[in-house]
Amino acid sequence: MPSQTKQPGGADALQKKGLSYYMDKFGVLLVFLFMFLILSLTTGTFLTSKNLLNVVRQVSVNGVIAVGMMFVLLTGGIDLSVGSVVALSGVVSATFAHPGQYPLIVPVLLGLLVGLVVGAVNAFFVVRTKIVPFIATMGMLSIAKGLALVISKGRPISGLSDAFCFIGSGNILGFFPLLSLIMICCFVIGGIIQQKTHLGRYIYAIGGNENAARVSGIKVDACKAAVYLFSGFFASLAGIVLAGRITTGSPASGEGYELDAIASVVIGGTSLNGGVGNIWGTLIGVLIIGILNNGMDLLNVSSYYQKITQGAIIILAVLLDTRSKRS
Amino acid sequence: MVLACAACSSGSKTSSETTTAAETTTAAAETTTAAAETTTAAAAGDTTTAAAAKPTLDKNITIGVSCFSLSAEFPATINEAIASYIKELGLSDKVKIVSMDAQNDTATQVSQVDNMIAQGVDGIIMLPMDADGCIPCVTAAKKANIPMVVCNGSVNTKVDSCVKSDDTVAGKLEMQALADAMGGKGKIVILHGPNGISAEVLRRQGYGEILKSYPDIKIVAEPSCDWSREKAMSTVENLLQANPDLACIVSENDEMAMGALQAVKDSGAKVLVGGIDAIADAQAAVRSGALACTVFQDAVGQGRGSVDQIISMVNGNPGKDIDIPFVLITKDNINQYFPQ
Repeated sequence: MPSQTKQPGGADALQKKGLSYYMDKFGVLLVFLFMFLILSLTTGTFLTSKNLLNVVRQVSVNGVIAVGMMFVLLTGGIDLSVGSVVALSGVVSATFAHPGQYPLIVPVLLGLLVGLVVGAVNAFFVVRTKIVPFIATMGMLSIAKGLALVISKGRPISGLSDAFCFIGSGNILGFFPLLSLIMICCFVIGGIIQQKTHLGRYIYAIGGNENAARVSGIKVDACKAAVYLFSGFFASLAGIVLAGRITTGSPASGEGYELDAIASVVIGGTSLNGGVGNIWGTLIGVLIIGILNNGMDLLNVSSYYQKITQGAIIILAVLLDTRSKRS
Repeated sequence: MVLACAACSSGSKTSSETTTAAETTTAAAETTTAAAETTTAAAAGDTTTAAAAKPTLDKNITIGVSCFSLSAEFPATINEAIASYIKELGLSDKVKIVSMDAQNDTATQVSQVDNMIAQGVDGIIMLPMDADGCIPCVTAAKKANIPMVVCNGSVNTKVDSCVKSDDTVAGKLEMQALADAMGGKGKIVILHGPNGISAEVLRRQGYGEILKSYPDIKIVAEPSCDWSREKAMSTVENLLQANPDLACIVSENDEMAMGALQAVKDSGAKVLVGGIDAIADAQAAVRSGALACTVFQDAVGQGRGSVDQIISMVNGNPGKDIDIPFVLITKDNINQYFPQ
């Protein structure tokens, strides 16, 4: 795990290396390992390569969105529009992805363009007009959803080309889901931006104290604009991947995905106030949500209780995290 | 029935048309069924039968259409059928349609219907989200003396007119076909829509009635996948791991059935999948033999029936209930209902 000295929020953790230090660093990881162990012991099917590949496949869409969401949360912002961007980019790319219509690159680029445009509009309202991100992106949630419905006339767009569907449903080397490889690439790119670039450090600084960052010469507006572009980009990539996975561009897809992504990032230790968190935590958060859903299905937990358990685990994981950070 | 209104409103033709009007009333029930078949068989000839009872209007009216959702294919098709039927009747100049999307939220639907009433619409066609939650909509319309047709679903109170297909029947048709295909025994999973909404509850009831006579069919899980393809896909991927000997997936709609089918296909398992609604994807899947069956609910027929009713009611006639029949669609009869 990388050093947290660069991160304003994590700096104090280095002062004492007691149990709380390790809880701080590995708290969520322990929750994950605990859940993993329990599921391996209680079900005969959880710990099989087929099922684990299933989990990896199922978390991929959320994982891709979560990478973008993490950057937004690190600046102390929020992006509620991602679920609708998933639907919109899915519908737009599917529209151009019928067999023999255009080369594969066309639907993919158009889908990604959708995310960048939505991200740019979000950035404009947040940075220029100073509308709070919650409201600006909530408005965009509705607008993007509406556009997806308009473009698709409220109907799923199916009959997509094999190449397009391969993005979401194909395997590489005969077994590993391509969409999971895409997710892993997103995490690597996210990790590089976060830890190896100036932008990454500026984002923490802005989340820690925006005014201080501004005074110290950081181009705060440009950085904030960048995180909304990231978020839109990753969400639209997720939309393309999802459309490939369900072999359909559906305006009804992506519903509530913003909440899953936020939950994953927050479970992973990122603070909603900004400035604290890292990409590895986000990955663990995504996996926790993934094995939770998978495990409850394997255990045949009734869907009523699944909802209750999901909520409880989210609160519990964050509680554990904040308590260990406070001590 | 519909000509009767034309008769009372247009003075010039009164005497000549009263007799026909009487006949039409008796024929009305048949007409709607015929209309339902028309769209399925896509035989243009039959539309003229419906045209015999062509509703007319002598004033400009506004009709509010409140849909529980416009992002799902089925209600969206009803909504479009309403508009295109009005156009087909040549009433586009006289009838203004205000469509609202309640986005699967009962509270939103209640306030949207309130808004329509406040706008002073002349009639409302409502596709209710929830049988109990939408009672206030019916009460409010009655209080304001605005005729209302409840379409596609039902509301647990007395309504003037209800145009729908009985969801219990759909459940029975699907379950019976799947039970037969399974040879009357095996493990099944039932994919639920959003728990508690009427279509979901009634379809499940239909399954239950059939399953009573099949003690060897065992339900291993009943997850709720909220009518969503992607949720159904993930859920079925998981359930196939937990239940490798699964025989059949009974889905309460086609969207979820399509997700389940994708998961089954990816896993290489041999599991029967059935759905309800006969959406375009499901038709293709039934034709190719991938989907065991679907049940055709005539969205266009429901839309047209609702228009007939609402115009008749706006013209002062009492509303009536109309049943648009369900049809089981399998590989054997698909070409009859959905010609290639």
